[in-house]
Amino acid sequence: MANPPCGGSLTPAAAAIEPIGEAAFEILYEATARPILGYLIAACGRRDVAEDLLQETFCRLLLRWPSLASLDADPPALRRYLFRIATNLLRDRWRSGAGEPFAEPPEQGIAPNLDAAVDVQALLRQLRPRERQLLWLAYVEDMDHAEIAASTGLSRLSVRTLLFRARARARQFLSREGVTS
Amino acid sequence: MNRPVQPPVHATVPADDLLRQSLRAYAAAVTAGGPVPVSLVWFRAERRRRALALRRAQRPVRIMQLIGLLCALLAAAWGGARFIHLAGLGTLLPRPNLAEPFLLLLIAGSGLVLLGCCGMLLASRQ
Repeated sequence: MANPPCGGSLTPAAAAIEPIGEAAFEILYEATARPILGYLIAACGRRDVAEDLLQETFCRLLLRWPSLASLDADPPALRRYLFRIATNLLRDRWRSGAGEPFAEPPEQGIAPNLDAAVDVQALLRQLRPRERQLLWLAYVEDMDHAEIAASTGLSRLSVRTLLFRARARARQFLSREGVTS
Repeated sequence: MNRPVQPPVHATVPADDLLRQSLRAYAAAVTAGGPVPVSLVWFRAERRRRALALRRAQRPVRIMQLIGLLCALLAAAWGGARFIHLAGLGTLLPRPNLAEPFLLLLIAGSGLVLLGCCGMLLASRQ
């Protein structure tokens, strides 16, 4: 996989590669933007912030494209790379203190009125940011430990441990809510 | 000592299934509106790319400006001190003298600025 999306510079040989065209980028965006938007909304709890981070994610991808062109032939790796950029952006945002996740109530119309047995927003609010991310990647994106590790920058062992804790907390929530025994 | 009995792995499966279904339903609901238009992202990236290119291009100009300013300040300081001495206003001050390496540095700096200016002028005409 390519280098993490923080720092680094383009080599002259890589810079000589043609930048991605608008049409090719549109195809890539259509295929990958929606899952990343869902991930960002679940992680930060606000659609406006999530949309801004989504734009920034793809912006960074475009700016680094010459050194990432090899990923074009490997869509799963490219997808993981995008999740990695999004994860780094979320982490930077939290570190800068720009906003605590779920600190503000979600905007009207953003909170889905689901006829589901589980109040997902309440569940996500109960979890730590990292746990939310891991749970989302495991359950919604169906990633295994190695893929989650590549998408978050954590080691596989850490992913395993943190995911186990996140699952335990989610199960606790479900049993507390009386959804499961 | 009584240890709490861990539930078997399969006991967690219904909760896992429920969690998966709920999270996926939530994902479908929150992304129903779709992401921002691709043109917006493209425009933002283009603007950023141009800003970065501009900053990169301006770097040598900034360095040249800094060297030029430094040379001008040093030359002005030396010229002022020389004038004061020649006018007999500052007889108590030591006569300003340019040490040879300092003079060479000043000339080299001025030459560099002039060369940079010529280079940029030529580049701007192409």
